[in-house]
Amino acid sequence: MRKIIALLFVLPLLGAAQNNSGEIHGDFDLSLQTYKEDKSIGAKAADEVLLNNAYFNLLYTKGNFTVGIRYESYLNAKADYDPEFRGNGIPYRFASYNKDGLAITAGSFYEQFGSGLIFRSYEEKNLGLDNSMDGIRLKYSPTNGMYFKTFIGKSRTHFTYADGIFRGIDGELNINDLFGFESKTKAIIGGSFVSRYQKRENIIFKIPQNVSTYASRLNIIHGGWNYFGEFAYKINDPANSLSESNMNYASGSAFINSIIFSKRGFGVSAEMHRTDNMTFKSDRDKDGKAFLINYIPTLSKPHAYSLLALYPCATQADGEFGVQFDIFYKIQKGTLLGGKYGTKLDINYSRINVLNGGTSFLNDHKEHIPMLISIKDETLYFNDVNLEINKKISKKLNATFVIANQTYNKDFLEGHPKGDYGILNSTILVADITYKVKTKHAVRIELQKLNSKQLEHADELAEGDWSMCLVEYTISPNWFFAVQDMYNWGNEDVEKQLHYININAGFIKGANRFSIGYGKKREGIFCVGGICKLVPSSNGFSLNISSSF
Amino acid sequence: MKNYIALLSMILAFTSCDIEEGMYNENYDSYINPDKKVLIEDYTGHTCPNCPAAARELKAIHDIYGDQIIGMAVHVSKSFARPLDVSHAPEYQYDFRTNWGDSWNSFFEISIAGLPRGMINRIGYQDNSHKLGKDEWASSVANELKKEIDFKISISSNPVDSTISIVTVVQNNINSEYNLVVCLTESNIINWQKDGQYNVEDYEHNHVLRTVLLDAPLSNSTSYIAGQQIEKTINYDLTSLEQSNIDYSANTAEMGNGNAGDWVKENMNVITYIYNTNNYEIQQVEEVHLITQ
Repeated sequence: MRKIIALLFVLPLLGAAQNNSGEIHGDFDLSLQTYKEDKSIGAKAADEVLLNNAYFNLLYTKGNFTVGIRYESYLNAKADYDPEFRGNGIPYRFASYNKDGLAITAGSFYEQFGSGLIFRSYEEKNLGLDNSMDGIRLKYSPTNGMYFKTFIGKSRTHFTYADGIFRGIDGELNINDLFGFESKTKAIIGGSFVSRYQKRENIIFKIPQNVSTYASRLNIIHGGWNYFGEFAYKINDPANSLSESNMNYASGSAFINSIIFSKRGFGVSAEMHRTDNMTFKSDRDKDGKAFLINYIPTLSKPHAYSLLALYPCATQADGEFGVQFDIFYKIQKGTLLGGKYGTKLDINYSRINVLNGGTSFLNDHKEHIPMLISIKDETLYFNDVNLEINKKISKKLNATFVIANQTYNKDFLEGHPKGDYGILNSTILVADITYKVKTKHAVRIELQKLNSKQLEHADELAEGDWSMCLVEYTISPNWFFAVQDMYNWGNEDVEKQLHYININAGFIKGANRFSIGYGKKREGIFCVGGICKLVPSSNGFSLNISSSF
Repeated sequence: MKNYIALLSMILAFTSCDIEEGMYNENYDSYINPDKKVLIEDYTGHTCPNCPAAARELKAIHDIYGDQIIGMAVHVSKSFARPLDVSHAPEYQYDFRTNWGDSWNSFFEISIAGLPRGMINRIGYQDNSHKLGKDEWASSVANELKKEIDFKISISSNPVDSTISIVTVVQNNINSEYNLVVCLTESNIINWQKDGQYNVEDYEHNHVLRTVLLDAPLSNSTSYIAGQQIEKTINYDLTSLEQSNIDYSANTAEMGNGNAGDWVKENMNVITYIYNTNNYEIQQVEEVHLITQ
């Protein structure tokens, strides 16, 4: 039946090709990796030797009408993916049109209300996460400065659907546009509502069949100032368990606040957020990322450099309180520190800790409501203070330096009992230098060092200190070559003082990109936007091909 | 105008939300078949911090339904069930893993989905819905307990001559292929277990799978007639079974240490179940003490 439905979406594409009307676009991505056993790093061989992830998007647009499909292939999925992604299929297909302000989508769609605190349907290939909705969505903008979105659907999990049925509505008013105010101050207000229906029967406990969430948001912009705040609330959403100690009828809540000031060469921002019992899933009984249907934006700086991202912060939707401050300043060119081209500075601080006494809990025998704001004496999840300096030294030479100090509660953030690994404190130095050898030829060198210590006694041996070196040579616009070595020279387990070497080369021409690589990867945590996954260690070759038209 | 009506009709779809006052349900349709029994296989590990919550859920389900629920803890995976390096963690030195547990884990692909996971009568293997998180167990158990039975099993254990006799009585005329499995489990094993943020020294490990004595066709025929009785008697040698577990841990299991002995026969149970070899669903299960207490 699904194949027939998918065919209905494909037919207009074929017709379009014949009639030469409308536009067809698409993109393709193939990622292959071999896995061989490497006992030194704990890497397992794949029974299949070679694992594969591939996607093909096809989109046809004619005027206000769009149809699209995505074919996905996991034969079988790469080792850092959820193994439930298995086989081939067309899990994403949709048709939509837009007329007189009303946009209608039937089939698959991605959607987000506000910051996503109560609802975010999105895909993140790097995490192997795709919770696209399948159903009906309407968007209507009756007049300038006002829109409503509403949908009904089920959420994708792997190649099937989660059990819950979702209904949602979101509206936003741009006060200035709506009433024609000509003012330096602009205000946008919004509100959203999402409800999940899931039939459950429990012999002992009451289980709410309809679980609702609400959110309201406010955005005020005045000159260089920008304030955004959102508050979300979720009604009781207990697990369908028979274990009394597991039954939590507490409601959930979350807020985020950010204030930003920016002008040319200077920017400052302050953020604060708090989440409490705000994990909202597409199936109340299931666990795992695949069933998350909301998103709590991360409150720490997303780092790209390997050793800065070695111990990343995973957002705790169940409960955390955090603050973040960021100052950006560009020292003007022609000054003592600015030099000929100017110097960019970025200072960032973030701190995230447990809620006072833990997450809210409520049942007939036990009640706990954590304090709204509590920082002192609370268990720390994550702390990061870092300074990034970007300096163009000459026409040929550009450099970035980072110094950071991070504190990482490895036990809590990775789900270990207290005392297994303890809390790690790391100081990280990064130097990233790019030198233009000649026209179209550039060499980039990254040097990184991480010194780590356990702040208290831990049962397990620490990974300790790391160094990393990367040399990358680019011949624009077609070629790149890179060699990277991550060396865990400070591991307390002498047998694990290993080099993780990776070699990559790529060729880009027009819309096509090819790259091959070989190397060892360390087992670790990989995060995008505070959502994290465990990446197993691996040893093998990789091939990536991507293309678009 | 039509646009407004379309939007309005969608908005009206969002009517209710269910804020519960009090936690206890007084209106539950509680019909269950008193003859139906359910096997909950709890795939677990002593270094899996989230696994004791699943064991507590199994106990809560057992507390509700009594002996109609039969539990089995199957310790699996290198990550969560292997003994840890003695120099770093001298506590976690016991190896609860077995040859059979590891092979079920591999066949049903349980621990690859993360632990704890369980199977309820192994329902759903054919559509890959058999690996259940602990919060899925209660619903699945309730559904199973409503089902009619095709077999009744009675077990008698004779520890003096080390035999176990099983009598299966067919309840309906049926045509399919079935296997009979006989296992031994052990309870009241006090040993270390990671539990959330804590390392618990005196954790009570219950109904831990120790060995499988039989996994063979229930009969030579695929045709069963109501009232038909099938009898089977098994001899066992507990010492050699224990030794084979020790050997498995020492020689075969990943990073095992051979520390898999110290069986206490007084704490052992016999679990017998019949499963359909086409879909692996367990039709009926029974449990008795190895030594009558």
